[in-house]
Amino acid sequence: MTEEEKESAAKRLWHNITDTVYGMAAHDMSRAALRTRASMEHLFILITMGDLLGIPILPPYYSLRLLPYVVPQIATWKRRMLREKDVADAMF
Amino acid sequence: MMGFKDVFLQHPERRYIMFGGGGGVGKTTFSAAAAYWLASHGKKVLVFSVDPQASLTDIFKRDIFGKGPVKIMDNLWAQEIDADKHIKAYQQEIRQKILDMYGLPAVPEEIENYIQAASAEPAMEESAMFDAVVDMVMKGAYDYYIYDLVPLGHALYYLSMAKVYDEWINKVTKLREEMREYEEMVSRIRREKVTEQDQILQELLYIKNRINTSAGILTDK
Repeated sequence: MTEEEKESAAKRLWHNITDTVYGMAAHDMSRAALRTRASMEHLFILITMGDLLGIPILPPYYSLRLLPYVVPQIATWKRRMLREKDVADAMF
Repeated sequence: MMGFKDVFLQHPERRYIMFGGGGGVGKTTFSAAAAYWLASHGKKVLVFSVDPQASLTDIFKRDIFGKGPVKIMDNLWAQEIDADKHIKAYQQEIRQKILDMYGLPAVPEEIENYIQAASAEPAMEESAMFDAVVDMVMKGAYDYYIYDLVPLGHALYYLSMAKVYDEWINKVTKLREEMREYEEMVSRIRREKVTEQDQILQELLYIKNRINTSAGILTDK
């Protein structure tokens, strides 16, 4: 094994270690945070645009102001809100 | 007995005056008279109403309905808000924004339906009027604002509306801020740069500022 090969092997090893540590310690955390963030996004649309599902929301004048920003998310949000819930949801 | 005049003289800090009460008690008459008196004493006054019956038009014998602030005499402006017109213009503004933001040829049907439905309900008119009044007050160009309310307990309703909206916007903004924190947390864990500004949060802060300011004027906060 040459000197260079040794160096790249050490680098790979180091890289794998950091990735493993990230996977063990932080990946779940960031995934959970993103999941919560996504749920909050849907909650947010619900409390501002609830009218779209027939849930009356207070000042429509201001809701309308926010409408342009959520246009791309409306479809996924509706699907999620109106989806049937089952046990599997709690498991994964 | 203290006359109305003395109230103005002794409390110069009271710059927002509302006339409320049942039909025919003299709201418009007193609004116009108070506005006239203040204006002729060198104060810059705006007297306004959201009543579609347009009583200010009658009392000043000028067609001011839906025409923005109209100058009646030196220091005196009168304004009657045309809610329908206001809402229509606003709807169009929202549609245009959607088209511009996503480069669409037409507003998606579902969204268009929502815009139509939201504008059809009575709460739309209320919140639009509320915002129109906030708009005038926020500009702060006048010494006195005289609000000629519509009858049917509108005065109390209007005050409670300010309070409810105030709480609504505070809660919604807080949720949005929490969402932002999650985003930042993920960026930190992954050692990525924090993504661009949250435009919704910016909008909310703008709305919040408006509502908080008007609620601050209307209630003892």
